[in-house]
Amino acid sequence: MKRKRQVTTCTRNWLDLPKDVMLAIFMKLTAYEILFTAQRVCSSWRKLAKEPQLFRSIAIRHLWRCFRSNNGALRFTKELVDRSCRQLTDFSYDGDKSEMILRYVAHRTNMLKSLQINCCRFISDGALIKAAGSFPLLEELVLIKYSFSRETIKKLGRCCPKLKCLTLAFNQKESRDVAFAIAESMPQLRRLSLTDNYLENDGLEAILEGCPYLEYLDLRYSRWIVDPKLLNKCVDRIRDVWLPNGHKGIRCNLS
Amino acid sequence: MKDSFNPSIEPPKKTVTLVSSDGYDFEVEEEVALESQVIKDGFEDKAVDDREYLLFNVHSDTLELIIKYCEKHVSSRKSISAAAASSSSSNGEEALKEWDEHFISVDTNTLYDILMAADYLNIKSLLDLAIQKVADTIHGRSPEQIRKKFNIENDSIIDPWASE
Repeated sequence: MKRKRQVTTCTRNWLDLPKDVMLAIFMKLTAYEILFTAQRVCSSWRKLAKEPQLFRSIAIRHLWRCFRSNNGALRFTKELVDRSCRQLTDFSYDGDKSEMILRYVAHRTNMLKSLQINCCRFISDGALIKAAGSFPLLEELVLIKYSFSRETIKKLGRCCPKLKCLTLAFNQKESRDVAFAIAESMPQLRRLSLTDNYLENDGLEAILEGCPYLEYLDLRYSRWIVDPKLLNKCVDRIRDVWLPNGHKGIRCNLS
Repeated sequence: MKDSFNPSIEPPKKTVTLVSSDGYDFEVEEEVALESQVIKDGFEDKAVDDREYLLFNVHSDTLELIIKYCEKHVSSRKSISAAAASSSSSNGEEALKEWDEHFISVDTNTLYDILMAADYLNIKSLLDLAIQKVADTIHGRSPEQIRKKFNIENDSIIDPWASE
């Protein structure tokens, strides 16, 4: 190997980097950094910051403290959704006005595969179902703090036939209805987490019957299920089961 | 030196020659060169006695670094899988990560050269490492600081988000 020592001093032009390399760098930035830092650097970076593929996955989490007003945060969220140019596939949101944002997203993408809304107390059943109608490809749905009617769940199941992962948190005594609606309308489910619920034996039986492909079931918050035979049936049937006692996949002693 | 390592099992290592843009020859082991997907893709088409690659876009300074990186990764992979086979505990992956971090802690000009070369030669792990380094450099910096760091001229006029 020949050796040589010669210092190359000329400065590199970072704007000469191939576009896909620059995009890969931007993909490592948060949406906030792209809008408030990167796109302010120069016109070339500003142009790059509008590439839809940077915004296919949007997670609005703990962003509210970054803005002086709710309006700023809402405007920011909408801007990201707009920039995705109907290519949005993953959307996660924990801010205010979730019904309005959900409607906004539903009007601007039908590619959504994953939807997570962490504070959906104020979303009406009608709005939820209407939005779900725009998400025929939806595979994962996480809804926290929401109360559901049996009809809502059934309609959700019909609107989103590809739904494979479902996480529901609710604290009203609707667990039985919800369980039966899941069993009836979501036969393709692979993963199901029911946090904070009043699910009882018959509801769980229905889910086991109606969702034969379940690979993951979280019953840690299902305090009302105590029948050891039923729990053993879950452990035998499903690969990953969290039991109400907090253990994972261990059969109960029947004696 | 490496050729004499355990000669009873391994045949003498085959080598290929990489030629930098400024005309320097680098003779490296075949498996090291094959870390580059571009070299790997064209490898079968080349005659065995003519394994020479002209890398028009890679300066010898950068090529030296790239070879160092590939050699390290080839040897680490071997020792990690050897440790796994003998089920002895090894912190090989941790150590390699640390080595990578140290390797990529370079000035912005060198980082640019590595980025360009890794892209041109299609060495995915190195490209990822360099991309992450650039992103880390951007994290927490203001637009003005970024311009200064990467020597970019500010030609922006409008800024719709300036009021936030």
